[in-house]
Amino acid sequence: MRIALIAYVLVFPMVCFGQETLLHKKTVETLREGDFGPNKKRYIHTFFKVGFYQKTNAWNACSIQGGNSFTTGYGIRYKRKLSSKLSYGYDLGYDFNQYRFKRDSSSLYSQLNGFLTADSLKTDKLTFGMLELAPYFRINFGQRGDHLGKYLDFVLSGGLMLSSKHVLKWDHPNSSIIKKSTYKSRRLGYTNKLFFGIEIRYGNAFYNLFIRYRCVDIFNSKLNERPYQPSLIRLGGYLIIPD
Amino acid sequence: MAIVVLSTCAQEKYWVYFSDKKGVTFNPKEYFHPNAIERRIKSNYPINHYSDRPLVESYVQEVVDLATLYKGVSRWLNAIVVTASYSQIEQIRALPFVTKIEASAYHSVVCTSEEINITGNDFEKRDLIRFQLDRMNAHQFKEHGITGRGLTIAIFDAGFPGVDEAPMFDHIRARKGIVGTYDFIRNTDNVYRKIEHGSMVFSCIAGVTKDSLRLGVATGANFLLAITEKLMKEGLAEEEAWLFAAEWADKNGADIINSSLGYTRRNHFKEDMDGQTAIITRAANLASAKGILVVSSAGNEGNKRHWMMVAAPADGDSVLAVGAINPWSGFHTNFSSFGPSSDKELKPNVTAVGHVIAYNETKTISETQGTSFSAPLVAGFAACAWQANPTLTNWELLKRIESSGDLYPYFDYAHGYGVPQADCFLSNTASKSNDSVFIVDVGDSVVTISIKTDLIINDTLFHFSENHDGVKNIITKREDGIKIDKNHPFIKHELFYYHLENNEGFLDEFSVLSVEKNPIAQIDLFRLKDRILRIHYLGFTRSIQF
Repeated sequence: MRIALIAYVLVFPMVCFGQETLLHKKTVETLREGDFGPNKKRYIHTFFKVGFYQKTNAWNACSIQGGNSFTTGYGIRYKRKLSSKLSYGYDLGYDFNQYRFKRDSSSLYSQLNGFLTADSLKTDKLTFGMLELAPYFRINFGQRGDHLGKYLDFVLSGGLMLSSKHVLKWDHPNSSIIKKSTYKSRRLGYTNKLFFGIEIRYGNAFYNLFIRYRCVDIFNSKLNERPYQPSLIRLGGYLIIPD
Repeated sequence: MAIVVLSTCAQEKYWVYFSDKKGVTFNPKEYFHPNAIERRIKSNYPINHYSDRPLVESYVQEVVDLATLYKGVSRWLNAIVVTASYSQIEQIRALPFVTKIEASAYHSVVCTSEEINITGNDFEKRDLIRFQLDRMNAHQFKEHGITGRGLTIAIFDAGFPGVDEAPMFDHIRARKGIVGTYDFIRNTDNVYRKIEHGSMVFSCIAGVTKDSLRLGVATGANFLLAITEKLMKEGLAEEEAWLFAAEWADKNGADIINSSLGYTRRNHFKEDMDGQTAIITRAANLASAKGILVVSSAGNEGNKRHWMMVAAPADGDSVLAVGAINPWSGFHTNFSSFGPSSDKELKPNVTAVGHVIAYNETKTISETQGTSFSAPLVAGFAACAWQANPTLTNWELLKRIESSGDLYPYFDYAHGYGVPQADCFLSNTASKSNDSVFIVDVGDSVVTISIKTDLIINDTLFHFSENHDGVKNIITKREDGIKIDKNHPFIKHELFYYHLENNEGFLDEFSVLSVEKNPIAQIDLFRLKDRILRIHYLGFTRSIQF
């Protein structure tokens, strides 16, 4: 009873009888400026991203198909404001990658499967997912209100590979029995698990354009066949979903 | 290194202010429309004021030569807008006649519409058309043959498609009542394009339907139409366009500017809403100083937790900021922005109906909502009030409009002084000051407020009955759950208002209550210490100092 009375006094300091309070407003609520917002002390928002790996022909044995080799992901971005021009923060998200290789010589898998040749190989695809943490430093341009505005981010990205899969598809030499064969490998021992890279991104309100350079090879030394050398550079964009 | 290179090369937009206007020649009689000169004389403002003179051409040329792009010029601010790199702006800063440089925004964001169309039935539409003007008693202007004749209203908006051909504006076109047009975004005379928001606003000032129903009251005024807003916004560029449009309107003899535009968090912080920071507000104040009455929508931010308060230029202390009431419930509608300004000036100044019937893109009429439409109702009202009282200056008119509010002398930060009343401009209507309406009992711990029993009007607003034989399809409930009497959707409701004013002169809190039975309210005494309790009901106001 006492608690109920105290709660009543706290919640309804202004008591009205019989009437309905249609509007009640405290001025302090209107004037209060919070510290959460796109250009306030702290801000957090979600993002989606899509990027494409640079097409390469640098290695005779294995090149990358530009359009089919892509990255996509989503996550949250935290921002802490230092001044109207400078801020920092981090991205935390999931990063999915797919490489499509185009081979013109014998492959690793020819050792495993005698009848697989470069000519018969139709698909050579590597996919992997990563948990990614990417701290960044931001320079803002122009005067603005509580708005992300126009900016340039300098990003260090670190990723932990969570899953990987390598898929090969080829025309079987004995097509009267088997037309196509597929070979899938998971939990690959010949890829690195930890990655880092650097990224520069240009932002304008609700989108970013980025270029990223990966500083770590996908494949480790256990892969004794080096023609695999996935592209280190990817280009793409982020779509910012404001709070 | 990269940072230095990038920041050096980055192009930004800047305001460059000059020190003087030495040696310029200016003939106001050639430059200004005769109305503008007459307005200056009436406002006791010099017709050859320093701020109206052109900029020194050599100064402009020197800056333009150093900058990348020239974007515009303001006589009022003695400044030009340029796009320049960091190194260029440093060169410009070194010029001896440059006093100040301010960065301006240079980013693109997507424009969002604030208004929502709701379709009602014909009965409701016709009654709302009547009510949006009758709530201001504006029919009295018509009865006295007052239509804003001789006044020029400038409307700044996003576009006026259909105004050049829609029957709703025939009466204005027939007498060549549109005396000037300009698109300050694309620098052309054609304003009859883009989105129809401006056409809708125009209809709430002077539109007449094909069956002769008036949507606004200033059907006899002249008009200047300017586009200052664009779909893909460029941040502060629109505010700058507004400034250029204000100078253009001033030159062309505008008496009233209606601005149903508002700029909030994209360009500013709440603390910027202090009546002197936002460039659009500074422009509005300058226009007011030159004798123009600036009427601005308060903003549609009342239910947006990130902002809630009025939008620039409504924060200007010489701007008549107009909030919105809900015609069904009779008080503040939930989207209408709250005051005060961040320097604690009273905003909005007045209110009008914020759910209206207006022109739409199909060249017919439909219901729409927003303070965008309550402002032009008041702008048209102001034109008529000014025609009826031609000796008033713009500032005197603003104060008269405030004091004609149906709550005056009571005020709060949702309604201002209430809805202005036309009869105050047509006769010497004294405001009601008899406070015997209220019975205030100060006890040991609470103050109990009652109303003389015979004055309690048991409003049907909150006693909606499903058995009413009302018109079908009428909205019977607002979004916030308040029920509506569908037999009389649009009547003036008598509600009880109170606020607590602190010893610094601004309100700590305010409230609106329905009135059903005594006692009306009990207020804890400790909350009233060193405060003024002001209460209002049925046109009567009483203040009690604690």
